[in-house]
Amino acid sequence: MEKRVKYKSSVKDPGTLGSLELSEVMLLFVPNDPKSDLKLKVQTHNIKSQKYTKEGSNKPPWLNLTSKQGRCHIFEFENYPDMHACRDFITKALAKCEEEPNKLVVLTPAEQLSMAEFELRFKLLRENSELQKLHKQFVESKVLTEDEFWSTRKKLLGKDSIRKSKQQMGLKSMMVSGIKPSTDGRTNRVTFNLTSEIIFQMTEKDFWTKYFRAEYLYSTKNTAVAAAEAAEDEELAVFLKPDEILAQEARQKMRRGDPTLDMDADQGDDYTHLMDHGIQRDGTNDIIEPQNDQLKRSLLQDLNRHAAVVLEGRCIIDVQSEDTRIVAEALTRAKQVSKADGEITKDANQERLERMSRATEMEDLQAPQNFPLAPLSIKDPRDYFESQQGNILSEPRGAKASKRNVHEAYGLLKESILVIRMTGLSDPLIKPEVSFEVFSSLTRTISTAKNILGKNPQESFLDRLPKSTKDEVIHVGKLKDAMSNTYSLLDVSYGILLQIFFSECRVVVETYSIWSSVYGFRNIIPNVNQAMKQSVQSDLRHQVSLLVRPMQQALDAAFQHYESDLQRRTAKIT
Amino acid sequence: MIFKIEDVTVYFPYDNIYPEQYEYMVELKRALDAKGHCLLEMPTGTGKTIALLSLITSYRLSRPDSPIKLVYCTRTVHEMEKTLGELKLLHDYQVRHLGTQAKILALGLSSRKNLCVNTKVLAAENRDSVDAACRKRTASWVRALSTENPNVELCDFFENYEKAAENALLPPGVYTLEDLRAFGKNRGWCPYFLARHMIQFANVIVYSYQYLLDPKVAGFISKELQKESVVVFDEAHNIDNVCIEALSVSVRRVTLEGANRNLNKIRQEIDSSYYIIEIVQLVGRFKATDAGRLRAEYNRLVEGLALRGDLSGGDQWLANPALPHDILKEAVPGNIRRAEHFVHVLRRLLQYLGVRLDTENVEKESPVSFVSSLNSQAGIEQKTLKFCYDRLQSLMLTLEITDTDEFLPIQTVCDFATLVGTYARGFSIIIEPYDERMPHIPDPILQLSCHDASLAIKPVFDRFQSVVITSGTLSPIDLYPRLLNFTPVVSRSFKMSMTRDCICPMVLTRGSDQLPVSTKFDMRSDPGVVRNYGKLLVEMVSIVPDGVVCFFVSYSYMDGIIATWNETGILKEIMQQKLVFIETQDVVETTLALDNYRRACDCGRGAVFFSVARGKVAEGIDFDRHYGRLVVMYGVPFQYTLSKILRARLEYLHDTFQIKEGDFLTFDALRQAAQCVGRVIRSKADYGMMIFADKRYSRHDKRSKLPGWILSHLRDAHLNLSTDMAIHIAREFLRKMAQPYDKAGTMGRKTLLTQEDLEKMAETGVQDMAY
Repeated sequence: MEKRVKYKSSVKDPGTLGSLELSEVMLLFVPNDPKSDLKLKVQTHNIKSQKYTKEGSNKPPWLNLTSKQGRCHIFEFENYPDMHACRDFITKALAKCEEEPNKLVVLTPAEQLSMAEFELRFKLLRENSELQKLHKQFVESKVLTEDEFWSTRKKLLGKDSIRKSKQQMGLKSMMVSGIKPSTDGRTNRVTFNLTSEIIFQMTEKDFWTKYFRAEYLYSTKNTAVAAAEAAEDEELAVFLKPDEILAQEARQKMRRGDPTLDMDADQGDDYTHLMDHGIQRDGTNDIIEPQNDQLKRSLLQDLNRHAAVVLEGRCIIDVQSEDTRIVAEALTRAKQVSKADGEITKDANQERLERMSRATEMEDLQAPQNFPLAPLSIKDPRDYFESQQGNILSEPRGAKASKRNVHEAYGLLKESILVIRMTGLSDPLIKPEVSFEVFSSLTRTISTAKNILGKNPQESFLDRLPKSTKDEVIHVGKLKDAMSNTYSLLDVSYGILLQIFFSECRVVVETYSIWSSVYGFRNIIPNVNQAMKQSVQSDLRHQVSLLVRPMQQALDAAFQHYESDLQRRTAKIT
Repeated sequence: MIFKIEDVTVYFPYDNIYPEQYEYMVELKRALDAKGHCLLEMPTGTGKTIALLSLITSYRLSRPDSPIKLVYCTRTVHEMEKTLGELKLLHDYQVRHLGTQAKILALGLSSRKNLCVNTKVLAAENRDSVDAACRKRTASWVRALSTENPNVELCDFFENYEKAAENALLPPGVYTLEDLRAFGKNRGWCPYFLARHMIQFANVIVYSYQYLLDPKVAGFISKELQKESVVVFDEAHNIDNVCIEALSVSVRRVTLEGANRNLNKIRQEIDSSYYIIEIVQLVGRFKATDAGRLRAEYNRLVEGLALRGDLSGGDQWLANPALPHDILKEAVPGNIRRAEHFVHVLRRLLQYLGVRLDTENVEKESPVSFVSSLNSQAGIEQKTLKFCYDRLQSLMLTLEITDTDEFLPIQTVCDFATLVGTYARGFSIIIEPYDERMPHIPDPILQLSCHDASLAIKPVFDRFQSVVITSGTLSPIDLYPRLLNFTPVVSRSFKMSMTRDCICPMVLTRGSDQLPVSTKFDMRSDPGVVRNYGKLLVEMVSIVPDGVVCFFVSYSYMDGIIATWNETGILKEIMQQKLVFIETQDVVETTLALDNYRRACDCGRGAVFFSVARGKVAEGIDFDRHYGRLVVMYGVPFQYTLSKILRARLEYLHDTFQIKEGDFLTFDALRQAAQCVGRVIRSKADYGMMIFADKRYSRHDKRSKLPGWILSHLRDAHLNLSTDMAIHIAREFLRKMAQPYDKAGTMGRKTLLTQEDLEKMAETGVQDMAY
């Protein structure tokens, strides 16, 4: 924006003629006289406040800007509209400047931590002593940087920062009529009247003035006044007349709506709706006030429309803009898209039919469809676990073939370990699919193995496995048996992971053959740590220990539970 | 499941059946065996429709030598669609088990507006303009004209349908309106005419009450139905009102003005016909002219109305089955046989009606005295009046008028004339200069109102072998045979066997401030009552999940109370919890509001729907499952007792059937209330609360008129509640309902029967049913 102004450094200064260029970042004054060195640059964010002379006072249109350094710049404009335009512009620019620092933080949280995030981390550490221990151990001993430490624990840091919700944004159910006249035009209500033609014809301010004028006229319920004003002002009339766009939309929606709700179809299926047929005045039919008055709109209609808009939500506008014009255009675009969707009626039809058939069926007279899941009801976790194993055993052999066998599952796991080696730890340590695969295949193998072992030790399933795997399987069987009591998938997968790690490193099988004892296992872990320090490359070390530690904790808990369970059982038996 | 009821093998499309459904079928079968009419009340949410459909179709299958036809009448088009949906399910099941022999043809029938597929015709705004737009393209003379003039627009769908002639048939199956349209579009045949044509072949027809009850429609649609038909009126609790509405007409100033314009136009047409004949004579060439047509018509009329059938195949107009049969054979009176004479008679009639409308006082008259004064002052005889409607139809046909919607006013007047000339009793004529609720607005109206519901339904009872009247609310069940004047062979009211107490009716008599609440006339505008009503809802929306429905006694009351709530901020509080949708008098808007309401319930936002007892929503929309966990009935929906028409009807009921005024009013109000709250439950897996918010419900004489299935759940402790107590009960109830339960019923009470249970029962007899 460029304006011709006179620049004055003080009130008494006669002033220099020149032009004022305005941009969002700064103001630039260039004097007309090229020799003058009175060029002036003012950064917008340096502006502290602005004062201006009132229209109608005797003074010329002055705009007085005070910078943060305390300097005054006075610009004398040629006329008031110019000055107002500039003033508005600067106000907007100032508002933007204020917002920007906040935005920066949101956009780049990795580089610049907000206070809130620090607080969150601090709080987490305070609440979780284990975490605190780890933090001490790794961060303070400089094994990990602060960021590395937290990046593996993103989950703890609240979900908001990780994934941006794709869910529709809801609207508050507040009505425009509730807004007092003093507030500005940015309301929760998105009016359908926003057509592009109207917007281009009018300025922003005009638009809202007219809109609220129309709203006001509705609220007064004085139709005569409304009619008179509408006759004078064409644009105002647009708001006052029943909305053609709305009507069209209604027709379209009717076509897509649920046929079991279509009351319009009833009209015209009998003769009583006809003028003068049926009973008119027996009190069941209410007095219908003259409907020909278009300029009257009822509160009921308003409420319906309002709720419909709220229900539609704000999702369609993903433009994060304050500029109402952009919002309006986005809205129109979104509408067109949804209209185009409406053309493809086949899907909608299908859905309609499905909805209808669902509505016609009687749910409790038939066996539940689609949902072959049994309700999860765990009274004794051990029963739950064992019943699951039983199920697997009773499966036909053919079904088993389709599932991956242990080797494949192991292979998968090894692969993911390789990936970890290559790229470092990612947020879920192992992909959920992989851990599930491994877990389930292990469950199957172990239960089969145990079963067969119990019956016929000679022809053990295990014998068919390579020796190293066999040991592992036996071990994991015991391990998992203990694990089952913690009934936590996560911990089990940790356990398995550890197991694989060991086999990878060839530490376990070679060095510690005393693994037959479950109880011994707990004592091994420190040794494992030791062994690892010797055999594992140093760059992998912290990752391994990272794994071992929670694993150890989980195991501790598991064993504790297992022991108490065992005691309980033996007590029962005796 | 497949089981036997006596000698009929019933095919029922579900694995289980409610005991009351089984009993319902047993009773229904008895009625069919006896070839008599029956009256069956069964609570909503017990699968009435499917029980009924599956018994009757199975009955048909078991008697292949004398197949019965099922004519199923619904109140609304969307109920028609729902019924056809259930029939589809059943049909699939039967075909799966029986093969092709179980195949039937079932179709829904509706007006052109709902069946037309011609986009140009559909562009018309309302039903009548659609009808007219259709006639403009399909009338026989238009089609004849088009052979000479290619610019005349025809309907391709109709032409194709005509071309296919005898081959235009629907393959067996179940056709909803949507299916009919799709089929028609696919084949290029007009679905409307195809459906009309297929009526005679169909095994099941589903259509609106009007198609049987309204003489103007019944004549040409339902004429060919055989006697061996079973007619079912579903949701028939309002059937008496539908009957009297079908025979009631009113005339206003605008009607008279419009009728006068119509007559001018008819007059012009007649003159131009004669004018043409003169020109033709001048030219000296003979041709079948318009005047010739008029003469031919005259000759036909001499022979009698019964021959009208031959007039011209597709263009049959409305006949009147309400007319005694011998009248149809009678010749049209001489003084209206000539077109111009008939127009003169109508002019005199209009003039007389205009004079009568110019009254300052309310006048009430019997048809007999009205006819005699009409005779003395305008010189129109009773017999002439009786033929007016048919004479007009004949004339319009002769003049080849296709803009039928423009001629509605004159048709109304002729309809009025025919009714007033035909019936000497059961009617009264009431002339009111203004609506007494708005005395400042002059709006004179002359109403011919029917008081006797049996008049319209009599031909149905006479013509068909079995008529089944069924609904969720037919209490007291002995009243209906009196109102409709018939003797049912079976009349029963079924209880609901409950797996758990899935409905929770409550009577709220006091607000949170312990002051009584009511919509009684002297209390309804009391701000305290309005506030208490509002507070009740505010509290309820905060504890009830998903959908809440509120019914008010009338539109004007709802309008007022919502405005007050808006001003006092109560509405805002409600809107903080749930979205608000409202039934308005604009059906399109209401339909959209309902659709949105359901979406809001589906997505978990939750919503409140404000509606009106006796309104369109209360009549036909279900608020089952999460669409309605609570329904609040604000006040007792009495009729407007000062209405002259209602007064006249009450008098008539008192004189003819000895039904007391107060009894009838209470009966009527309570059946509406029960109808409203009954919308909330659809199956036994469903649950919902019902709040009757008016102190009058706590009185025994009012309450006892509620249907038994509601009363049996209304505990004494719930009869006199204040808002806070109701909230407490609601909380408890919702918590209880959220628990898992055994669907099959507990403690020896079977509420869900399996195949084995039924077989066991068949051995031991029905009496042992354990509920």
